[in-house]
Amino acid sequence: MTLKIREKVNRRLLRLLMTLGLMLILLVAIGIFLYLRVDSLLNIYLEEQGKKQAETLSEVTSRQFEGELKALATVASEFSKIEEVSVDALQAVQDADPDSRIGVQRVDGTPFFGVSYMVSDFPCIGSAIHGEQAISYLQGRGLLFCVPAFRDRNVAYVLYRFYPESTLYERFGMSSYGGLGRALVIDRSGHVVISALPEGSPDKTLFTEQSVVDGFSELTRELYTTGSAATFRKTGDTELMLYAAEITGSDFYLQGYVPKSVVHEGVKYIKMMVALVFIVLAALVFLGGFLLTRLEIRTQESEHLKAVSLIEKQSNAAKSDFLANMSHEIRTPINAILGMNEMVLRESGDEKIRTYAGNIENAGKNLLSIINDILDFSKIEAGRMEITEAPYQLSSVLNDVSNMIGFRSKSKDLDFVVNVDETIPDALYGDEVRIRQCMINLLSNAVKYTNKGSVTLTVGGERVERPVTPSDAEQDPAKTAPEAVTTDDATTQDLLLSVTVEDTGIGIRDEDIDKLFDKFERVDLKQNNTVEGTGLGLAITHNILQLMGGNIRVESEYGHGSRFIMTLPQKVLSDVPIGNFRAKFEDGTQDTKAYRETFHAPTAIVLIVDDTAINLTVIKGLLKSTELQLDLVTSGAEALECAKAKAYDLILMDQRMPNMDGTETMMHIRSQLNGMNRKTPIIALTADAVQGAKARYLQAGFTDYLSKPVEGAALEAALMKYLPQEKVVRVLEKIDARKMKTKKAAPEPVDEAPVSEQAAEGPEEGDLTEDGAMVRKIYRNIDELSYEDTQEYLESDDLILVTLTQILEDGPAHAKEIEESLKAGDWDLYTVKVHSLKSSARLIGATTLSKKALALEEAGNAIRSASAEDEVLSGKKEEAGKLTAELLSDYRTLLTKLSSFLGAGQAEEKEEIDLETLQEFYDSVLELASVYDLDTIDAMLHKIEDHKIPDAESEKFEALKMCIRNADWEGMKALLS
Amino acid sequence: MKKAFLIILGIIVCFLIGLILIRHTMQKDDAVNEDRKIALLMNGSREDHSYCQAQYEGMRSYEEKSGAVVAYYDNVQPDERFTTLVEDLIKAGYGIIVCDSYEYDDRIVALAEKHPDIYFLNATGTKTAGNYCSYLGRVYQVRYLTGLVAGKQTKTNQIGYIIATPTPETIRQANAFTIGVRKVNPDATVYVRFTNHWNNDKIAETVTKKLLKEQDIDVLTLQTNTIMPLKVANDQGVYTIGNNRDNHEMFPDTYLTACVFDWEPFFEERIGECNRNKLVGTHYWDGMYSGLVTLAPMTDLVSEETERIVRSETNRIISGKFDVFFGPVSDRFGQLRVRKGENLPDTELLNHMDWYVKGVDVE
Repeated sequence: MTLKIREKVNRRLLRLLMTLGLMLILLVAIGIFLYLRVDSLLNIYLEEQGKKQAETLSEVTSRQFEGELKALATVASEFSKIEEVSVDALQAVQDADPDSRIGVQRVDGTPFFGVSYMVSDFPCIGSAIHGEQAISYLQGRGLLFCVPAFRDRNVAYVLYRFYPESTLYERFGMSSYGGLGRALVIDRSGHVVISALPEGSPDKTLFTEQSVVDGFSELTRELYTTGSAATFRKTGDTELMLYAAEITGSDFYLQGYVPKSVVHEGVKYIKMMVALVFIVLAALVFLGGFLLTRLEIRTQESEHLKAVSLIEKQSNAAKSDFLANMSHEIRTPINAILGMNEMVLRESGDEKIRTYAGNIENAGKNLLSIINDILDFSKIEAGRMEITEAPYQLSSVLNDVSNMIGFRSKSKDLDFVVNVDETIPDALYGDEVRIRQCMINLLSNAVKYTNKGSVTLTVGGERVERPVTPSDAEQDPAKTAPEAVTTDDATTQDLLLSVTVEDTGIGIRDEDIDKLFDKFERVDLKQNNTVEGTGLGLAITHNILQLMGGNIRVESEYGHGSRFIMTLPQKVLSDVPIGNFRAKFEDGTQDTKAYRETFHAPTAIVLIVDDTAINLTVIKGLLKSTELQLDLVTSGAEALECAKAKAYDLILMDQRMPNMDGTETMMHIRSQLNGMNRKTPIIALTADAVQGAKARYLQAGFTDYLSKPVEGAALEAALMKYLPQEKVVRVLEKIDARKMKTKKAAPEPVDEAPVSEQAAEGPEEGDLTEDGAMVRKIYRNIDELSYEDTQEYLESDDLILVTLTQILEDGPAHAKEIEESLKAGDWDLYTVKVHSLKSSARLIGATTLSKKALALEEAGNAIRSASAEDEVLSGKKEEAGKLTAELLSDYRTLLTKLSSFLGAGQAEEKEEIDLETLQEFYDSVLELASVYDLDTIDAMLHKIEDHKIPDAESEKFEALKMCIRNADWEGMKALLS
Repeated sequence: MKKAFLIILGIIVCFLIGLILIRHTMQKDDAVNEDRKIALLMNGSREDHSYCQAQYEGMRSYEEKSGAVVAYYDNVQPDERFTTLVEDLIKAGYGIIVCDSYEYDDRIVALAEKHPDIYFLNATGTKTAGNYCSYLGRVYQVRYLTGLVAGKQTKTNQIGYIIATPTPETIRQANAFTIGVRKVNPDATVYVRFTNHWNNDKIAETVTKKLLKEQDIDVLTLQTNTIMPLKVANDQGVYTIGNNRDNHEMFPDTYLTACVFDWEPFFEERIGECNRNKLVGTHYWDGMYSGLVTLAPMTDLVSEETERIVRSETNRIISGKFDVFFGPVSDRFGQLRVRKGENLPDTELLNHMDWYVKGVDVE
């Protein structure tokens, strides 16, 4: 599971890492793209700037040209006003600007002032002749500005100003970017009109560089469609921005360049800034992604942990449930075994049988203790072990323990030495049961692992001071007792009880000591593999002691023996010393097996409520010798009826019953108006072994609680305790005196006086009793029943007979209940009923039936616990229905068969039916069968069954009954016609 | 987690789209050299062997050379029908409207204002706008040359000149022709007659016949879109000088020469400018140097001497040393219009030529 999860997490981690990696690559790609985009956008921006620069420069040049033309036009307009052109005036204009040449020529090309120029050299002359202002450039010559001079509306002269090439730079030359850029003006053919540098300048321009030439030719192409253009070119080491623009109003273009570093100066910081911001953002995004991923992984891990812990919890719960169920399942048969065995012990006079029974008892109790160990351990594991503190007498505990262990050690020929410090107080406050358990665990171990020598129990104590806590008063109601230790200061004294168990056994290796308190740990297995036990004892002891605030430690010498020292604080209720504890229990220790019955109470009347008849039988058997008057009922409702009618001295109440459970019944009894049993002690009987059960029952209002493998002694003790003392006659009668007790047929009412002992002595050795014969007959004839199987639970024939009779009696109703609860969908009731069928069928050896019932009980439980939405639920229900039909059919068949043996006995009391009436019945059935009226037939059959059927007709009648039951119309007709 | 990735992805996509859009809008400023669809609208027939056919042939030849899409419409009346047709063409996606008559001028100005992204070109038009360019060649220069030919050819000294309507353009051409005639034959008279219809054959025929009947004319030229006057003259054995298009094959016995247009190079240049959004809304008036207007080869009917004179005068004009209206020029009433040493500026030639030079006989 964890491995799978680990793998899953790893896979996800890998996937996330891959995603992150992809993101990183994506981010880098985007970053590069962004940088290139920003770069290109900035270049475009710079180009735009270049275009603007070019436009500005061209505008400047254009204005200069316009200015020239305007100036000339002004002069020309003067000509129009005066008829004769004043040469002096022209000379004055010429003198003002000696670098250029002013001139006037006639329309036919003849000079009027200065030289004349040809239209073929300077097309602007032609334009001027036609009345337009114009500029022309001739390579090698210079730049000519022409304007027409009008007389009236006709062109009379052409006025011009000529700039020789050498003067052009000085006049029109321009620089850009504070002298860092170069610009020139070219004409349409590409001839430089205005150079970038003055003539003879030592500087060189880059206009002739090939890449620059290429760049400008590209720009010229661009100018074809736009007014201005710019681009970047690299020449040598320097990158240049080239720009070009048309000069409006002329055929000239402006071209220029500037080192990129000049225009780029501010821009590169923008680029750096963008890159920086992007890197920061990318880092943030990546970091965010990383953190998110980590968070995700953590969330997933914690989810997995949660899932794992949930699974653990569930499996723990399942384990606990399993253990509890198992204990229930095991305890029920043990209950029967021990109960019956108890009766054998009581009633058998045969020493041999008593020995066997004793062995059974030992084995059974061993089994119980193992189960108890497992249960205890599961409680500890689940943290549900509870320490229930109450006042107790240490001497009683020691007595029980030493009796028990004394018996065991004696059987192993070990000396059992008990040393008790007589000064320690006897009345203590603590969990008697658990302390006893711990001591027995240690001592049992000592006995178990010791083959020779002795086991020594040493009990001592030490007074320790403890501050008084408020809870003391609650926990310790006995504190107010006169003999309670009361001191002026707010402290009280505890007893640090120390119990040392020492043996001369095999001892424990040093290296094993640490493992000793681990669960399921049995050290030195080779040597001890014959020793039985769960290996939980010491672990449980250790845990219980810890819960009680105590401690345990071990000293051991391998091969020579061990010493377990357990210490635990106990509150002291009275300072009265324990003294010689044995003296108090002298009587009890002399011969344990000699005294069985502890009381008679023939006048006391007790109500016992249990839905399972067999349990009633067992309890009845157990209490037979007490001569109590017992009323037995199988449901809460009946119990309520009884409680109304009679005042009982005590009620024993099973908890788990259909319809109305024990607690509910108890509450009803307690609250009956004018009820006679409102104060009657009610003791809960339950197989509910789940922890905390006792407290729950007491809290619910029960007087006491008995765990359901009911032991005779415990039952009798409880009865003795709660029955009115005036009705109890305590006896210490030896069981030997009762060993001749009769083994008469079972359904003998207990409240009747015991049948004479002599009657039971009748059967000879080997001979079967009347019951035995009947039982043998039944088991021989009914295949479904196995005598061997039933003997596992019920040893005596009379008990078997009693049980069979009981089942026969209850059976039909029981079957009907199962059927109806199934029909009604009352799965709770159904499960209870099937459960009881399972138990009773097992008892009588109807193993197949029992197994079927078990299967259905499990199915019922599954359906009850399944949620309504469960898809398979309906399937399960259907399945259960089918199996139930089968089960009921088996059950009824069995009952029918049983009734043919046992029913006869019952019928004896019935009045025999006369043949005439029977024949009438037959006729009616035949008639009704032809119209298939089963209901009427059933009703009639019911009436007939109230009578005894004559033997002669018995077989036919039984066969008919079977047919009716199975609605076998043909069979009926065949039988009757 | 997935959501976060999606959001980041969305941001990135928006970012990229933004970057690309920025680039796009910047590029949009750059002019695009698009091939606009062209429509040529003529006021006469495309097969008039004259003005309209010259336009048509020029455009056809441009169309074949460039692969441009051109639609041709002839006989388009200069009224509401013209406007409707142009609107329909614009709707149909035509981007350059080429016309061939000053009669459309006002309607074109209105349309150009309404459709600033459509270019209008119009031959003989005199108005302009930002997206409207009008033009014609300096036909008067070639007319002057044909005048030289006519002056040399005439024996009767009576030369006929049939004109559709008097406009600065037609008067200018007639004046230039007359100046040419009188340059080589100062005694000759040019009889100018109007038909008042550019394309009406019948009227042209009547007017021409009437003129030939009244005067002893042995050389005739014309400025109408119909060539009916030439046919009439040819039929009567009168020498013919054509206009707009060289039709010497039609009149082998009488044809001397003609003023012809070669529109293709001009169309190519202007339409190219339109496609590059570089058209200047101005008036083009290109002279003989541009090749737009030329003299058709002179036929064998013309003497070598005449050819020499023509060649020499052609060179003078092209070199810019001389132009037709260099002074002195007097009108038909004897008033000196251009003094010696002066020239008529283009504005006068284009817009104010409402007088006839000496040697013109006009009714």
